[in-house]
Amino acid sequence: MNGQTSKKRIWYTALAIAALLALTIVLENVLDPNRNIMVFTSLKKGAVYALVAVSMNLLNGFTGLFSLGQAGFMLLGAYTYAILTIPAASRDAVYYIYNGSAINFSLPELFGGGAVGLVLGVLAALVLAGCVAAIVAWLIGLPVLRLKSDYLAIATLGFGEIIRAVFQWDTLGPVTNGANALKNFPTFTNFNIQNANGETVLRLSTFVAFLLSGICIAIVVLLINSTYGRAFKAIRDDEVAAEAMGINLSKHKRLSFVISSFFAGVGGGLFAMYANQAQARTFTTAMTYEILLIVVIGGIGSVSGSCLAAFLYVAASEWWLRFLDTETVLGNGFQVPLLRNGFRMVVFSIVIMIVVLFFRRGIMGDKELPDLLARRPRRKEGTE
Amino acid sequence: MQYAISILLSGISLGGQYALIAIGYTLVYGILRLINFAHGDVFMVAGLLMVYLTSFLTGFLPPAAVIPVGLLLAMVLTVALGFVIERAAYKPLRSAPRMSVMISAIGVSYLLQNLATYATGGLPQMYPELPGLSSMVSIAGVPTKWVTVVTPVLVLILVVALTQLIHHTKVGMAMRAVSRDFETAQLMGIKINAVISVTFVIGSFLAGVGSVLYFTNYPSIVPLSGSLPGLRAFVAAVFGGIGSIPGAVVGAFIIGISESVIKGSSWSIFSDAFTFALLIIILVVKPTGLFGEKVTDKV
Amino acid sequence: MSSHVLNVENVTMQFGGVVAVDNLNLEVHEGEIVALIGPNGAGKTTAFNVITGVYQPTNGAVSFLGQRIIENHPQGKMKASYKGEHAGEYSQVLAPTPDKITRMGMARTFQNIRLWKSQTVFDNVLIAKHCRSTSNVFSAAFRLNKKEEAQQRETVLELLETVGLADVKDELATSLPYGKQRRLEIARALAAEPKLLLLDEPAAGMNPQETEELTAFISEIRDRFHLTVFLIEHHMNLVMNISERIYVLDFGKLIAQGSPADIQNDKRVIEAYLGVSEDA
Repeated sequence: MNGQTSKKRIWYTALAIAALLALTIVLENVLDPNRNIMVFTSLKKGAVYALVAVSMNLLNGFTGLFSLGQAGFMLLGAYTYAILTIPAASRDAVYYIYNGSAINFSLPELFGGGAVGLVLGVLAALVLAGCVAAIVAWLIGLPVLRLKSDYLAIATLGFGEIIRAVFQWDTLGPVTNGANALKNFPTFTNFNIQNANGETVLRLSTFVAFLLSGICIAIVVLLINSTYGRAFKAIRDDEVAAEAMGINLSKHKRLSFVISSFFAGVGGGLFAMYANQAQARTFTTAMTYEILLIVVIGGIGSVSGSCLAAFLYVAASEWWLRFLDTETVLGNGFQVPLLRNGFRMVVFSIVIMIVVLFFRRGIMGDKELPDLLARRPRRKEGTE
Repeated sequence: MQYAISILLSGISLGGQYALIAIGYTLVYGILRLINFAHGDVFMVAGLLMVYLTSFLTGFLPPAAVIPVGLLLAMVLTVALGFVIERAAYKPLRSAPRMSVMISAIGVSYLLQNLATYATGGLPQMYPELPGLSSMVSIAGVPTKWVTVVTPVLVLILVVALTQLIHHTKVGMAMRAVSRDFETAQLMGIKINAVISVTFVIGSFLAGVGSVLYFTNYPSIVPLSGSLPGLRAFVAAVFGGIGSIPGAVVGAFIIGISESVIKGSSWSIFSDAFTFALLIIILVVKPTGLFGEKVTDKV
Repeated sequence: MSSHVLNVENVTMQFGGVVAVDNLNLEVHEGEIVALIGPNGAGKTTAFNVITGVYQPTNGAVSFLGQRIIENHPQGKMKASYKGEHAGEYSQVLAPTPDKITRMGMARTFQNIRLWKSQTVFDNVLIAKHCRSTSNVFSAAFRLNKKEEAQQRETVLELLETVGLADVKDELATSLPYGKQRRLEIARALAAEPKLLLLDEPAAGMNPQETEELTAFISEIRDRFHLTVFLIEHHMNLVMNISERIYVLDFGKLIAQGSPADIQNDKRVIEAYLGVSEDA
């Protein structure tokens, strides 16, 4: 690829992303969010899942390390974010079982409250959420990353379970609120702009979700296309050759693990913002599987694939396939067979199995969206 | 003292039940190098089958025949399920990277859980009372169910039968050969697919037996009932050295007893965390487990 | 005489009860092309793997550019079952990983080509430059290392031109014909900026014409990049044409060394390759 087309492509990509962000603002202010709950739920959750899926793809798809610890790192991020941002005034109400919280400050208030405090506080808390996950990943990375493929998977899965148990431990209650949910911290809707009368004049909640997740994904893309990203891919393709060419395996694997966990942590923080609460028992192994399946559907080794798949997956499970869960009687009194609670997930898992078995490369394979759009005309040039 | 005995008894019986599941993991891993994530769910489905079959059969058969016929049918269907899963979800991926097969296994597990949720409507299902197993008995002054006594004995019988099968029959020899070297075994004319199917059949059968013993101790089954016992049994298999049957059994008893001890203490919330911590420590310190063989990679 | 680039001292590699390399001693001087030959299973690749850090030797030491880089003595269970010599002489344990050794200035190719399959020809070579880049992960991700990156890309392009692969730089590495894949592997090794190049059967699977081209190519890069070359080979034409000295290995033991002419007439070498007739 010569320099000019690559520069052009970067511009087009940037433009497309800007347009997408603008679209979310328009959409949220034109459509009534209270009547289109499903649309905006899917968009916000999709944005969060896209980031987490990309972070998992960095590890599984680009470095070839099969890790199943994503939910554990999300949990760390979600709790860090929540603990740091619950307003001091709400702490007694949230931690009522433990007679108040052990931590009595809140980052948005430390930054002076108001709109500026909110933005800075939330950003700082999200970065710290990522850092906590990254530090834990750094600590467990050394022993765990020496393990071969499936042992690594099961060890990281076990790690997720351990984290979940620790956070539900009663003794840590004053910090983690035990098995109860953390609530009342700033969420995406706090970013909606209100006028003096308390009426919402500009809705930005979906935009903020897209923006935050988009920035993180962009950083991952930059990393993947840097010299370190290339080293990761070399490790994935052939470890022995990578080591023989001077790539320090343990250092680079750990690096990839730490970075992936950082973004999983940020993703966890965003998930808490989406869900309006943080509770240890949501971050189960099933959640990791869900994210893994998104990565697979999108294509292992494709960032844009993971993003697309995240939205498709979330929209399908939360919105498009909802009708499968409700018993439906047609006009002539004919009750549609099979439709009742739980059928949605059955159909859904069958679709997933079909993808896994027959479309193993997923939507995108290991290609990216711009590749697909740009490739065709170039090939024509080549054949002429 | 009585408390200690009751903890130990429940640990042993739990260990025996895990052992039966763990053997399924260890056999499959030995041959396909695959962590069969769906195995725990096969175990759960076996339990549900028992529930549905007994309630279905009560309408057709005299009460005395319901349980034996139900048991038999449940075993046959469980074995069939294991066989079908292998043929449909793992066989097409035989030449694919290991990651794909593992993902397929996770997909199957997801499917089985969702199917179970659909079938049960998400409601816990009462496990039928099995005459003989569910009735009470008193050991050293501790009242317990018969299943506690039956489990270790049954495990012992099944393990002995299995080792006989593996060491003294033709199919057993083929299994050992395939687990030693997949490609060479194929070149030597061993019908790989048949051997793998047999492995899944044995594994599912043992999981079925395990589910009868396990769920007799619990009042009900939910769709997620299989995943944690499955994971614990897998840990047991790794602990004992994956690929080794005696290892899986010993590992399972250790896991079962320690789980029962921790559940009886004030640290009960950490019982699963402990299991996994044990797993990580084992993997890091001695990845081959207690009885596993060392495999060296060639450059 | 010029200084030692590589010095292998009493290296023994024992796997369980099998001694794959038995008390190997050899040295390679600056600017030389030296070959290691021997029948199949003689332990040549094992010797390479010891030198490049893939295996830790059971006993012995390796020095590179006058510095001791690898050293070991029998430990643990091996203490009792060790069958080699010089057991007590090496007290230190030095076991750098292969990547460290590569960064010291030693790069290798593989007997069974190990290119990065999903990468293009260009990226295969560029990745090998990674070990020479000084940027950390932040400056790399946020493109603060633009200068270094541009410079790396330029040298890689030059290198590809030198080895005659510039026209296929955007092809997938695995789509190249076999001979070119071998060449690419050498280019990749060169990108790591080695002083000593280790080639493991570079002509394996090549036809006579390709072998001839390769022979010329190896001498050419030696001169252009001021390299020292140490190679394993079966093609006697290639070995006799370009090596200045030859070491012969049989059943893990060094049985002969010397100039190509000496080796061609060495009785033991002929025996090792052709076998000894029973009644001789």
